[in-house]
Amino acid sequence: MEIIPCKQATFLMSKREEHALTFVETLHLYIHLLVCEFCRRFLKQTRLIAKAAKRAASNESLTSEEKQKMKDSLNLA
Amino acid sequence: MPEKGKKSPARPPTHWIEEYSDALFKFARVRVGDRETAKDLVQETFLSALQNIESFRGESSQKTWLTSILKNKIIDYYRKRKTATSVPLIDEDGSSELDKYFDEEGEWKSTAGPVSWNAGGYQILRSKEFLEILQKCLSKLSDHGRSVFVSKYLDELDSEEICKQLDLTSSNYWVIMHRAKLQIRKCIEKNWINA
Repeated sequence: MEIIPCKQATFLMSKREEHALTFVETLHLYIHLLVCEFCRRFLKQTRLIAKAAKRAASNESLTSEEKQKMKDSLNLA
Repeated sequence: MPEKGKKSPARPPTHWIEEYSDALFKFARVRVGDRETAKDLVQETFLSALQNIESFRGESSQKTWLTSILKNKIIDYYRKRKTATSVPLIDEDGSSELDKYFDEEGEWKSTAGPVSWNAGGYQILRSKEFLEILQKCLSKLSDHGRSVFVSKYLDELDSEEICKQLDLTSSNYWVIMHRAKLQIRKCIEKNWINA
């Protein structure tokens, strides 16, 4: 079985998350990951990012002037 | 995210800004690319809520209700942006975004291959700095990339729901997701000093 290129392997990873791969694609990706350290890292790191995304939160907040403006324009003063 | 099952008493609209604007703003800010947009969406949310106040039935908390209005505003925002800027699969200079990462054979370019993250274990999920970089990198994605990434990994929808919501074909969805992941991983690697 030929080895698929990294471009295709990384593409297939997202589909695999949703079990949207055919049997042949699954095999291709599996074999690719066995031999390619870059793609193994890519998979590991993007999984980590996906996990972190659930906790992603903004550290920005509205200033009191912005809140006051919002109140005024909504006639909630 | 609003906490389900935990209901606080409904507040009169005059108290909404004090009570809810911070949470709504943070919710929006992490999902859109800039502060002004987030602020506008929050304001529009309050406006819609005021106009439809009779539709609040008290089945959920007021905060949950407002958040669901905001969610729809965010979806509308991305749908509108999508028609304004059609999905550019090829960059202006004729090269594809993917050419930044892969050579003609489709193998990683020597400059683009993922390097090992020393602090790469799951303990970095607890790092405030990592989460801040993630948020910064989310902001830097294209609207298309951010909207699919956020829907998938923050809102935890599946691709079918996301395509419906953002009016995308499934093949476009996978292409956009692929690019978004490449970009965000690269951005984090560049900004994560412990890497």
